[in-house]
Amino acid sequence: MTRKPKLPEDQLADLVVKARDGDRIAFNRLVDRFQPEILRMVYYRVRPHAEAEDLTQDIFLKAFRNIGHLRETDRFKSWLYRIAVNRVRDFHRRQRLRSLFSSDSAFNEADLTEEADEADDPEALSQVLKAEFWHQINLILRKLSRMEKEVFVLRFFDHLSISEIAGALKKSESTIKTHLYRALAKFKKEGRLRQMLKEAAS
Amino acid sequence: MNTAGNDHLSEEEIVAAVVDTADLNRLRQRHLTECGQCRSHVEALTDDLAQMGRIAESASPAVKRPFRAPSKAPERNRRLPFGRKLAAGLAVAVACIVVGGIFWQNQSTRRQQHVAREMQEAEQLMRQVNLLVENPLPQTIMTISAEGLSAHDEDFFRFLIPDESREATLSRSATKGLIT
Repeated sequence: MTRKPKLPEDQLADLVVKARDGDRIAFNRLVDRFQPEILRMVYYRVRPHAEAEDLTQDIFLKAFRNIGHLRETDRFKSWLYRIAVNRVRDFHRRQRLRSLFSSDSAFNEADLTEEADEADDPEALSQVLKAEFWHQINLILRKLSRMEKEVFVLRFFDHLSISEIAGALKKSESTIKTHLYRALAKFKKEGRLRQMLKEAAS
Repeated sequence: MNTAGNDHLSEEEIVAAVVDTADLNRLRQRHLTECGQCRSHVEALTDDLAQMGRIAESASPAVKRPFRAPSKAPERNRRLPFGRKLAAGLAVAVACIVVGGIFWQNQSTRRQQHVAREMQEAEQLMRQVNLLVENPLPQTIMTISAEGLSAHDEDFFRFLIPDESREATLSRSATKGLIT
């Protein structure tokens, strides 16, 4: 997967300030920087891909409409993830209302295998391995509480720092760490998945 | 958690080190930097998690529809932030309490005034009733009625309406020829 080069912190802060003051070009540059990771974040939690794309569009539209109210410009990323987390939660809530069936898992392995060919880098693992990987991930996530799952995915899939997660979920850093400890203690016992990960790395 | 510097890191401490090394006390942090075995445990777990993230990322789709900000500029600070909303709400609540208090006080004063006015009216009515009881006739009738002669003395009344004993004495005297 080709990653957009990260903007230096001062440049990012400058763009956020300009975007907050109504500069559309600055906002679009922020979109270029963050849209791939927000799409991934949504995709991990929502299927199928088209749905994730729609939600990502909603998230950025909401961000654009509300960026004028952003006070702490240095916390833009947390703020954006908060919008994304809330939008995904809202989506799941509506889904649950629509159907009695609700998937407790953040990941839908069936959809993943179906959409594996859409992946940016299909060479990373074979389809079978990918399916097995998501199956194992689902097994772990089912053992986690809602908050443990949320924190775990934000930390190790979305690569947010503890303080960014705290900002996105509006919780204290110590609360986030407590959930992470518990989630990691459970993950640590998952020998099958860890073996898989080691094999994939080698 | 172990506090001694020499023991290997416990399972909890390895997890804590993966989350944030600063969460370990200074002795344990030093042990971690010096002990290859503990470090390898922490690194193994960290690597597994990083690998998991990489695989997940590799299975994710690329952006197909880049978002572009609409031409209408964002409305800046049109909506108040929560803190200000709360302050505004409190101010409104205080204003309501003050206005309510003043209104209640006014109502109370008005009620007292109303009661006083009613009492005054009742007293006035009673005065009129008493006056009517004392003088039931209208003034025009009063002038031609006996009530209007209240200024005359008792002898005049006796002259007009003599009492029976005096009438009898006078009639006896007349029969005897004392009175002509």
